[in-house]
Amino acid sequence: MSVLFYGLFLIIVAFLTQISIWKIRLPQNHTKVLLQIFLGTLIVGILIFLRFRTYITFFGITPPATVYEYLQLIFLFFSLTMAYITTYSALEVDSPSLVMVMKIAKAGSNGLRKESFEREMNDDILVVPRIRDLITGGMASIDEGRYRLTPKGVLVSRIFIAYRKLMNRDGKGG
Amino acid sequence: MVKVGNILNSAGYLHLFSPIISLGINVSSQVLISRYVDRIGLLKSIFVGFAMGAITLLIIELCFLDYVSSFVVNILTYSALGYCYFHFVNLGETARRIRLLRELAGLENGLSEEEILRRYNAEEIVARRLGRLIKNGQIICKNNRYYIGKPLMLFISKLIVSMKILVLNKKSEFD
Repeated sequence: MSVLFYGLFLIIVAFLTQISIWKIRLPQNHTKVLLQIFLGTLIVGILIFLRFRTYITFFGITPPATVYEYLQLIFLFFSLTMAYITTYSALEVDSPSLVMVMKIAKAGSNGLRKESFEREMNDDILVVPRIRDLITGGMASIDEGRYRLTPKGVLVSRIFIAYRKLMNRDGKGG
Repeated sequence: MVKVGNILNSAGYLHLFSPIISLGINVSSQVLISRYVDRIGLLKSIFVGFAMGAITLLIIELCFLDYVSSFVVNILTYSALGYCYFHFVNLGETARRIRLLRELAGLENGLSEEEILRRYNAEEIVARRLGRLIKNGQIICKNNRYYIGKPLMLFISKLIVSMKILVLNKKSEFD
């Protein structure tokens, strides 16, 4: 019970810390700062548990006592952190399906005319911001109006190309 | 003080690493199904892979079950890892940034914005997603107009917008 309780407790503390920082100012590199906050919370939390274990009790539950429990807590914390960061990256940008559904829902019971729907869903909303993201994320550079992959972009593209090949996926995707 | 001695035996390791072992079973079975079983689509292969990993985890847990809470921790850890894997596969399939990276891959001279938009554009993105949403009944097309069909996608969209407001203080990236 100790690992579950204190693992979830640390995740909630990290999440609330992030929300508080975000309310003050949004960082430049969200993922990097998120990792720093979550990792920092884990390290500080474990140090506090180790130092003040005998003084800490919530609902009769004391912090973990063995190395095994701490390792389990670290695995739980890391997996939940990765799941949160994965979800967060999906929140940062508007998914096309979400935009489409919300636009149709906004039109109400009259529905949305096909022409106005197609006019609103254009390259400036769906593609151009993602091209800019490649530059911001350091995955592409622009030189004389031409976009080229950086070593980071080459690495990421190779990972996905190789994985799609491994799964026998031949469609274009996207 | 933290006790070290009583855990570092092989059974302890197996129990400790059971979520990671299960993720390995999940990933390998998903890849095998995706490669060799044509009639199972990608999404189903992910679900089957996740189920295979979960069964592995259950078997390990039943062999070494000491506390229910420890079992819950491993289930949570495995589920979070499985969720991350689902997102990884999904990124390769549907993410626009990954598709753009793939379009640019291997081109020494790169592409201009116009060339990129000729290869990958809003028309293709909308057609692909609209086809999926209409096929699943989430959107209905009638008399040249689009309507919301089943409410699931609308519910998920509203949930995501609520999370955006909570975490990012805005409804959309264009706000």
